[in-house]
Amino acid sequence: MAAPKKNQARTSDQHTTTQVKGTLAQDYVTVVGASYMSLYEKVRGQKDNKMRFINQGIRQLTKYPTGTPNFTIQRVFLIFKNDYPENLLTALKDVVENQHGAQYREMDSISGLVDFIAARQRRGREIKQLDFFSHGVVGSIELGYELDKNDSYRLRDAQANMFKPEAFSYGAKIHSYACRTGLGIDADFKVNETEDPHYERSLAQILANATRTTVWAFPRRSNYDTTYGTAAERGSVPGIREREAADGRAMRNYLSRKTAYERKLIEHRKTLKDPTAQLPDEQAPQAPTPTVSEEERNLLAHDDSRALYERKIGFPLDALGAHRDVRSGDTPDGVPKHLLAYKPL
Amino acid sequence: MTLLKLIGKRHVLCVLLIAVSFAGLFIYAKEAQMPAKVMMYYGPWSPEENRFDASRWFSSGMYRPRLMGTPPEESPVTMLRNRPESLRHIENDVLLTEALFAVGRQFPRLDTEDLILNTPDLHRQIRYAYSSFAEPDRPVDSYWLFITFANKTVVVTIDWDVTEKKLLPRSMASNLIEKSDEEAAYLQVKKELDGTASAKR
Repeated sequence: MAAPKKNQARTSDQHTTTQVKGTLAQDYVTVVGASYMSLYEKVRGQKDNKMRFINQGIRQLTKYPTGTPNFTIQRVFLIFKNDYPENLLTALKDVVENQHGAQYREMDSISGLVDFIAARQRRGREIKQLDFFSHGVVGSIELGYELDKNDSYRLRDAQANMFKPEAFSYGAKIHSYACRTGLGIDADFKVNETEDPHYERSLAQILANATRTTVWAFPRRSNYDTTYGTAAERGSVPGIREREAADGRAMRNYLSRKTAYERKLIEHRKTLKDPTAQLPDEQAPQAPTPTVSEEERNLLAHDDSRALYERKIGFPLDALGAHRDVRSGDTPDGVPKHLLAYKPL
Repeated sequence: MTLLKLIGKRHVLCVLLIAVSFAGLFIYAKEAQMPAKVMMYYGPWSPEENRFDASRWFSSGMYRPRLMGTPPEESPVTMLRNRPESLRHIENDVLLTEALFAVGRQFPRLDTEDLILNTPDLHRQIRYAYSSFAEPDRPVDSYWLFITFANKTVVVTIDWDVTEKKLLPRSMASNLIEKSDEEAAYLQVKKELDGTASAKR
């Protein structure tokens, strides 16, 4: 953790010491793991699971403070690129940089992440928040699970211990949305009452100790099932879309009348040679009030974005990010079903 | 019973297995001779598998598969039309309204006044992109309409209902992505427009 900087000087009884707190430029970092497709998904051309980590990563960007032009605050999106096709990465880069004002960087080994974190101090920056969206097993965040580069994409105790506390700001947070980062024993389905989950051995605790930062992680598996909204939300889309179609017709009608009005107005002003003249007996058309609520429109916007990118590049990329957060899964039972905090020991 | 006793239960089982294997092989061979079905997704994006047999749209020669990814694979969502319509018959102001609607939603801060007052011939800025199915057997052709503002070029994706012969009210605006198919199409449009402009000079 970066200690507050002090201005130190020789002092005497007549001179007091002045302490000046220095705040370094801060990074809010999302790390997205690579995602494999099962044979079943490949055969059926289903890409929604493959896009879970990416869409959650984009959602996380929207939760960070907006980046500042002088980079005192910076959003960063790191992606482990194995098995993500080039056209998807190109579109993703555009979304991350141009729609969310974040820095985009592709990673091809875990040492790239270790270097990125080490470089923070050298560049006079510190990490305020670090969030992982990835597969995981007990003891490691698997940023390339089941893929060719699985071994070189793995974040385990050896790499965690390379993360230096100086790279993290005071009060920084790390979140892991990978499975079982917070569990210290290899339990698959149940941790019995008599068993100790050994949280102190978990990767979350190792990360907390290494970075001197609080880590939040699931002791259970993580569940990305509401990335595209709940079943009820997805079911409500057709109904909302019908009402939205009526709003769309009203808006198109308004835009058409507005176009005619503005053209007429400019001609009128030219004729009178008066740039402020108004049309006699004619008011500018008023924009219609939509019947669909902001929340409903937001739900459709997510749906539209996924549909557009699915047709354009073959993947349901959601430029607005996932619709809902990652949840705790059901297994292993016997440990809390929510994120746990792991404080440095 | 006597026959069973004569040849034995095990032998009967073997004969049955051989018969079933031959039947399976026969069916497999028959299927291999038949043209493969083209199962395409339809409707809005969904995690569910909403597919139908779209073979006739391909066998008729109207559409061909769209190859995507590395190595290239036939997309189960989109396809390419062999002779897309020109959309010349759509009024310029109808295209303008679609563009204003889509741009206003996605880029509400973009100043559209110049586009309204000095609307170019938008037909010349359109290129066919890809096709998909809104419903089973209801193909939709998507086109890119490129609009350049002061220092930004926007792509408006407009959808043409091939059966109903009308624009679908679902136009969407997005950034022109570098090194993408749409950028290649835009550069072609730009080249043609620049060529016309220099010929007029």
